[in-house]
Amino acid sequence: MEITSGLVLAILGAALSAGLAGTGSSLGVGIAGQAAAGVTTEDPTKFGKLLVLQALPGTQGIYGFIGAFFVLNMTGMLGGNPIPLTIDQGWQICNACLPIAIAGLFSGIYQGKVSASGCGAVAKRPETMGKAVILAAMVETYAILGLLATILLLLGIPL
Amino acid sequence: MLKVHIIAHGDRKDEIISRLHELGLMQIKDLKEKLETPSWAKILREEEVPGTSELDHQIAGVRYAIDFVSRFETTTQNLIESFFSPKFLVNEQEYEDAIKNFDFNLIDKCRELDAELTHLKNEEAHLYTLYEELLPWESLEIPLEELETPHTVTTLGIIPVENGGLLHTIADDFPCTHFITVTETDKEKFVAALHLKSESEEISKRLRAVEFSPVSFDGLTGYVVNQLEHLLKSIEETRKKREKVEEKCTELLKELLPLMIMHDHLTNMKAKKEVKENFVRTDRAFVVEGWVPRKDESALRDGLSHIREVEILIEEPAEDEDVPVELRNTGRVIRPFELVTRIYGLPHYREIDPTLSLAPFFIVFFGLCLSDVFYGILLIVLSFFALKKVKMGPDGDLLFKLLIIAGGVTVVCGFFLGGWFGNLTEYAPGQLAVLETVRQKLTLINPIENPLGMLAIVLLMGIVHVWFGILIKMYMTIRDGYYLDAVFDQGFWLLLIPFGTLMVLKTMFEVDIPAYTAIQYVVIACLVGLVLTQGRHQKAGNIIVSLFMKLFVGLLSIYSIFGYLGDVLSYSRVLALGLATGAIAIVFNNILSMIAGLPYIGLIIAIILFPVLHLFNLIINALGAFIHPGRLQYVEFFTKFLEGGGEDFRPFQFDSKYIKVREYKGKGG
Repeated sequence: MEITSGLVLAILGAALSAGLAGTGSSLGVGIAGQAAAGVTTEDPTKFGKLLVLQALPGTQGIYGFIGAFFVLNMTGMLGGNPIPLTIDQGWQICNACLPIAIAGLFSGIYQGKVSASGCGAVAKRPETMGKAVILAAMVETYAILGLLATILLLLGIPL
Repeated sequence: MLKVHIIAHGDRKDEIISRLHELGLMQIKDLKEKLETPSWAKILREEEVPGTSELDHQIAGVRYAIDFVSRFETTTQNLIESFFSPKFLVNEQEYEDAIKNFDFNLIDKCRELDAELTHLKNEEAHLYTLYEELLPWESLEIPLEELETPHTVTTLGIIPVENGGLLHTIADDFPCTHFITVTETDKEKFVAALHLKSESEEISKRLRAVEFSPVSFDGLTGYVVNQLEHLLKSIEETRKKREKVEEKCTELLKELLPLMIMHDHLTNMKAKKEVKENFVRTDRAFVVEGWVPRKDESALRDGLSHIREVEILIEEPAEDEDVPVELRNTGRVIRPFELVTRIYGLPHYREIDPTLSLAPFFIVFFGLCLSDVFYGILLIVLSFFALKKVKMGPDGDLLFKLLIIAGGVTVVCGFFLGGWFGNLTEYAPGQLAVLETVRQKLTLINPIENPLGMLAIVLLMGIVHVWFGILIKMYMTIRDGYYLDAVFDQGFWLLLIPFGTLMVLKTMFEVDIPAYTAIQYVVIACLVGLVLTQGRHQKAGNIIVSLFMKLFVGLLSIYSIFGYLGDVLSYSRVLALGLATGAIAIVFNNILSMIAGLPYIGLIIAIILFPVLHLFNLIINALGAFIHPGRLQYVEFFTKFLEGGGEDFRPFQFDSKYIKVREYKGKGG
């Protein structure tokens, strides 16, 4: 097994993808969680609904993870037989990871903020639950597009 | 919906209200605005509404009692139940009995117990604080009442350890002073300072200078040791008293259901009184106006037929009226989809109910997002279990019915996309390896190996979905009699979208398209048609300016292509969510196979972890598979033909917060 500089760059890409998008999610889930905890103290029976709202910004982390998964899969690291990538190939993979890394980071935070407002809405009017969820899901669109861009870019890299 | 007017003699008022309440078929409209028209105001006036203050008082009391008693409930609702806040089911007999036997003294009893409990809790806290304060002085050998004698005083106090040495200097200056260290901790010394009464002033000044903070136990007598024992006893006694009161409160739990029944009964009585606010009256007669669903018209007439001196007039609603909306999908398969519609809000009365048209798209997108045979089966089993075992309101039932259907579609999509707990069959040992062959054979397209192919499929579905939305709008336009508008506003797009797609396929992806020249002509014709017609509502004084504006707005309308393009690209989320389910399942399987390879206990750990990991993946992705296809309906599909903003049909009926009466007067609560 030979570790090339190209492979190092590919690992950097996978790490950015899972790491930054995961950071976005943890910030988002954190923001929503604080609001949810506040509402729970007033009305513990709403816990189930609030849990769903809190979980919403968690998907960016999953998307980032999928980006990393695709990198590991295509470079053979998942099977334990990494391909000796050239530096050019390594940079290509690393850059291809940026869309989900960046979009995941920021959309996670903002989705968390919308979810937190959603918690407020549910606190006052529980029947707005569905609408609050959809509003938060609007933000997620751009993380999804980021993931797609990453996957399409990765698929376009000749190895 | 039909508009109903009921006109009757004033003496029949309460009878009619009760009957309408039992029937629960009619939504009652506020008529007071009629009084603003002078011609009506001449003959009509506002109905007198009896005061509800006594009822309000009773309701507040009952609500307080419910809150108080539920504090002692030990069992809590499970997560799913709390999601839907179900109501307690009681039968009619229990309901009547509870009302008949209800004793309002119960509320006073709650108040008394509450007060007693608060008092005892405060008492306990107070005693405990005293105990804690007294504890360091346990070994003080002076009885508390003898701290002050005719000539001497003993001041008890706390001093920081590092200042302890300074006390000597005070003792040196005042020979008749003696310091006893009673206890010592890491930071503080508990000191008794014995000194002459005559020197009190100077000594307390000196003591303050060394940060000696005095404490006093006024009113206590005897040795501290005995006091402490006594306090412990008192605390214990108070605690026992409190527990006894709490027991009494817990006994009251059996009154919780009657309280809830009473609460709902009283609020309904109040509603029956308050509904009169919506009536208007003449000297002897009164008028009620409202809405009744078309299908319930005869039931309403029958229901009121035994009351004399009543006139019921039923008519079609006027064009410009705001009519409440009731979704009516009777099919067992379609009805759960109303939930999806209702999350968005109801359509306007004159729009069509989108439930039927969104159902196939929603369910297929859900299936593609989850796309795993076993996840589908699990979803069906879990939802079925939830339906049978968990108490839920009507919305909860609908949700799990919807999930059962969704599970079925997920199974089918799983076969096509090759998801069997991800790629679990790859690990199948020995004879089971045939499953992997079966999976490969059944798989039409594997999104992880061929995401581009899958992307093309979901985008194509998106085009169909958007196109279908425009088609529905065209139907609505034709239904309302605007034939030309239907051709100009929707017809051109309906042709342009499919043929334009074919052109894009040809020019960008070099797909072979038969009769390509004809297609080009159609596309050009549609574009020209749009440019010529979309500005037709523009008007200007000057004919040249007017023509110019019409053309300009027409040209601008072509820009909508980018809107539709954005809509269609949004469907790529279905691919991304499908990938998420598949990729995570594959990673979990990979991790599990590594764990299973560990010697001795590896296999056992893997078997225990397997359901946990995959259940996690199922729940996370099922959530996404519900929300995102939902969004595709609301944002991409509904916007093509629906404005929404319909008002829910709320019949005047038995309305409850806590309980549901089974077969309430022959009507389902």
